[in-house]
Amino acid sequence: MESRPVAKVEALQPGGRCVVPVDGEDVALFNIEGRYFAIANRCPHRGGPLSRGHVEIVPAAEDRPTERSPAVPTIAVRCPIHGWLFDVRTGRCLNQPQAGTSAYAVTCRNGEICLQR
Amino acid sequence: MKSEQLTQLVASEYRYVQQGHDRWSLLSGPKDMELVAHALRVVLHMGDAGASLPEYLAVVKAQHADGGWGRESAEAESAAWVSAFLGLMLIRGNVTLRNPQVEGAVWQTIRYFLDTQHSDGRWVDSEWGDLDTTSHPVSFFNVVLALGTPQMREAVRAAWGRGLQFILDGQSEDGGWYDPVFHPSGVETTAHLGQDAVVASLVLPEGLPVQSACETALRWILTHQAADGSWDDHNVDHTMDCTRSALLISRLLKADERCQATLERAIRWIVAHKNPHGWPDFPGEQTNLERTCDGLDVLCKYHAWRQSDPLEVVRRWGYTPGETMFPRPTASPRGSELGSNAV
Repeated sequence: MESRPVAKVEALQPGGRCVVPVDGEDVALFNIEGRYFAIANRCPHRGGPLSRGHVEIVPAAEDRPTERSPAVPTIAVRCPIHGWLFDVRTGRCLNQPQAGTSAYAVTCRNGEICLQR
Repeated sequence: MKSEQLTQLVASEYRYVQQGHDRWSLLSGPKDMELVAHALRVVLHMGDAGASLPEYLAVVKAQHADGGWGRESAEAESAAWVSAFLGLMLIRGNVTLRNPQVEGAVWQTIRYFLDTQHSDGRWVDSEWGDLDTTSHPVSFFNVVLALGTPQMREAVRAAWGRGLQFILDGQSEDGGWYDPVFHPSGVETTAHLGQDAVVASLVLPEGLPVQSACETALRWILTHQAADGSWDDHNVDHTMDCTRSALLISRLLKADERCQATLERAIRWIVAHKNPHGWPDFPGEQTNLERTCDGLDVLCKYHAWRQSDPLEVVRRWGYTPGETMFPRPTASPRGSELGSNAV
């Protein structure tokens, strides 16, 4: 998929999130402390809206990294329905290692936020 | 909300669920078994279990040799959470059906849970935290103890006690249950465990001492309600969970008066955030059929809570014997559909 504009930079302030349609799929777009992240909006578990989820920082593992305790601090969004936790950079599910969701590369160009799968 | 409005609203939403029969019934092909269980609970509340034997036999047919069910009907591996929910629907439906195949499947479910319990009392399901998972077989066993045959009650009693003790041991001092992996906020877990596992002991013969656990859990639920009547940032699912839990716990603690305002605020919020047909996961989103079944469940339980018979609402959980049925409206006063404007 080519990189394409989906929202104005000024419309998504730090702490904000919104849902944008991309190729027929709803994508949850987050501004977390000035950095943008985008993942599919529907949780692969039972369809909960990830755009409504809490943003959490998962701390790095103190000793041996695991799926649930990664080697580096990870920004994640928790599905508000049943609590599946997704790394917003990769879409990897941190508490269901076999699961994951689509993640998009996000860039800013000419005042617009652009997504690329 | 007037009783007539409540009756009309439930009737209207039940018609919507019935119209979506092919989306939830195993009779029309493979299904998500959690959705099947949610829909069968509505069928039960509406007094239609007796006319739905083929639905129940389809659930029996989908049962695995180990006594459990998969999350999807075609999935080979059994999962604890959904298996408990389906076992519950079978034993409760069979109060009306009295069908030997269904009874055999209930026995199979009992064996599944006896075989899969861990030594510390918990059950495990990879998609749920251990506390939440354990609450479901305990809930199934609560109903076995209330409605099952003497042989069934004898078979589950020890495992039930170990499971319930695991849950009681996991309660925090503030009354909530927290699951660090899936639900650190504690809202859904506390609401589930209160109603599904713990509170039944207040009405079951030989129940464990749970009065104090119920009082602190109820306080936790009440204090976490938002001023608008919702819980957990306008989460429809979790607001319905907390409402149901508060309905049952308040009744069994004889705390109805203390909880009445909270419960009425919650019901107003739930009704106000219904779509023209069904409920969404969050206000303004598309209708979710499973959430619609939850909405019907909570309204049926609220209706029972308002009845003069104090045990009517307890029967809605199957924790005490006796059939219960939502009354059908006698006539539609203003046409058919009642939406949020009616409340």
